[in-house]
Order: sequence, then structure tokens, then C-alpha cells
Amino acid sequence: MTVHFSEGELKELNINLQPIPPAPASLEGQVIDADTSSPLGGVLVEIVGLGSVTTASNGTYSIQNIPPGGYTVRFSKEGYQAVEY
Amino acid sequence: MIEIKAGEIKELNVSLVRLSSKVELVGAAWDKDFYYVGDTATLTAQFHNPTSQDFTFIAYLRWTNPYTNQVEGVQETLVIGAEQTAPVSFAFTVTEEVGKIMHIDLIEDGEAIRTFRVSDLIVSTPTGKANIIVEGGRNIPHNWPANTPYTMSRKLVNVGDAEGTSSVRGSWYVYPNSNNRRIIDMGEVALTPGERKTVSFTISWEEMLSMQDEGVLWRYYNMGGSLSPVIASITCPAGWYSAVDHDGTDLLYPQ
Repeated sequence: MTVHFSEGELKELNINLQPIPPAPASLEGQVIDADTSSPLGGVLVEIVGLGSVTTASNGTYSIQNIPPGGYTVRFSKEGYQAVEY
Repeated sequence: MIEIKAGEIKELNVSLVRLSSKVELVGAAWDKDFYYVGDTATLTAQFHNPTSQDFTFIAYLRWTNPYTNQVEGVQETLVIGAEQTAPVSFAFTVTEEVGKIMHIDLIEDGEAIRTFRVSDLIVSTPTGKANIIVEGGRNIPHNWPANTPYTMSRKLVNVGDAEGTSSVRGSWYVYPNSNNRRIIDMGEVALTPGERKTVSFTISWEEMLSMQDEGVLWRYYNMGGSLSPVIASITCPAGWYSAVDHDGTDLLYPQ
């Protein structure tokens, strides 16, 4: 936009700035059995207060579109000791 | 807590520990010392769960059928609260097909993921006779200092259903020359059904030294209700130590 000023003119210009939405983040990884190192499917991966996914048969998971911030992440599966970060 | 920044692709790899790999068998006992065929045998096992989560598994008491070589057993559900110790009892009818050696397996997804050996099942067939057997392990010390007498013991138990006696004998001999046998003592032990007695024989250090035969082993073993202790000869009288070899024979070697 080009603003033109006339001689002696007092021009008022009010501006509204729109915030840029933060780029979404993601969390991904793999869950394995601590004793055998074999991949663990069916593990519930939960970002507390946000949502959860379940690991695939190869133990991998991916959670997309996470707003930036601090989160508690919990991994749990029946028969295993749950861990929390 | 983890911090996730805008636009970040954070990687978080995790390893989970099986609860069952932490659970420990802290005790197991039969409700009787031995059983006759037809009795109900009950094994009560105590498991400890040191984790912070409750533990629920299938526990399986297993044995191998001596006639078919098939693994058989009884199962119970095992539930232990976090950081708790809890019992699980296995009961079954004793038959001739029940194997002697017992294991407790923790089962998950159809597979045994932990196995604990428990004491053997002792079964006696009713005969109307005494049946005196040697029970338990040996008591040979790991170190036998010089100038001290050496005592060997065996626990005898009558697993028959009548009172009876068994002759016992303590002796030493030079292996492999069993003709050079020296008897320490002998006698008879009377036992009622289920009764136990410990029989001991002691040989003095001086007598031991008098039986030295350098380079020749003296062996110690038992057969049935008799005792035939034998030990290794010494070439260094400063001290001895013992071991159990693969066929269950106790040997003493020069230290």
C-alpha cells in the first residue's frame, strides 16, 4: 500500500497486525522391550491433555500438529511398567 | 515433562520393562513332606512385585510326565499389588504320571517369560513297607581348615507307610582303589513314616593325614540309605576345599 501525503496534511493511519500461527510440531519414535529389544506394538502413547496414539506393530508412533509447549508424555502397555516423561 | 518447540520434529524412543521380569519368587513350600498317589498336593508360592504397578499374570506349575515326556501342569492367576508380596497356591491330585521336578512359569501371550525352579515333588507309592531314602544336599564345607575334624552328614526320611530301619555306614576309600576302604562307623536308624533323622560321621584330622596317598583321589558319595563318604587325598595339609562334580559326587581337593 502506498500512502500519499499532501503538503501540510496530518494523516492518521491505524494498523492491525495479525499474529502468525506457530508452526505445528510433531513427536515420533519407537518403543521397544527393554529385555529383548524387540519392537512393541499396541503401546499407548499419550500426550497428557492433548491426545494419544498407539504404536504400530513395529513399535513406531507419530503424533502430528502439536502446539509448542511443555507436555507430559506417558507410555503404557499392559504387562509393562509405564514410563512418563 | 518435555518441551516441544514450534515446527520441531522431536524424536523420543522408549524401552518398556516387562513387569514379569521384575517379579521374584521369594518362597515356595509344599503342604506335606511327601505324597502318596491319590493325595492332593498343594504348593504355595510367594511372589514379590517390586514395581509401582499392579501385576496380573498366569502362573503355571509344570512338570514333565515321565511316561509321555509331555509337559503338564496346573495354572492359577497371579495378582500382586504394587510393591506387595502375595501367595499363589497350586493344587493337583498326585498320580503316577506326575513328574518329580517342578517349575513355576509366568505366562504371557502363551509363552513362559519367567521360570522358577521349585523343590521337587516327593511321591511314595503305598507299599505297607518302610522306604527310607537320603534327602537333600550334602553338607561338605567349601573350606576345610587344617587340624580340624571333618564331619559328613546325611538326612534320612522314611517316605514309606510303615516304620522301618535302615543300616547306615560311614567309610572312606582311596579312589579308584575301593578295596582300600576304611570304615569310620556304622549302625542302624529306625524311622516312623514321615520321620527324619540326620546321620553324621566324623573323621579326625590325624586320621585323615594317616590316609594320605599323594596323587590319588578319595571320593565321597551315597547310595540308597547307606552312607559311603570318601574324600580326596591331600598333598598340601594347609587347607582343603570341596566341590560337587557333574555326577553328584562330592570331592575334596587340596587347596
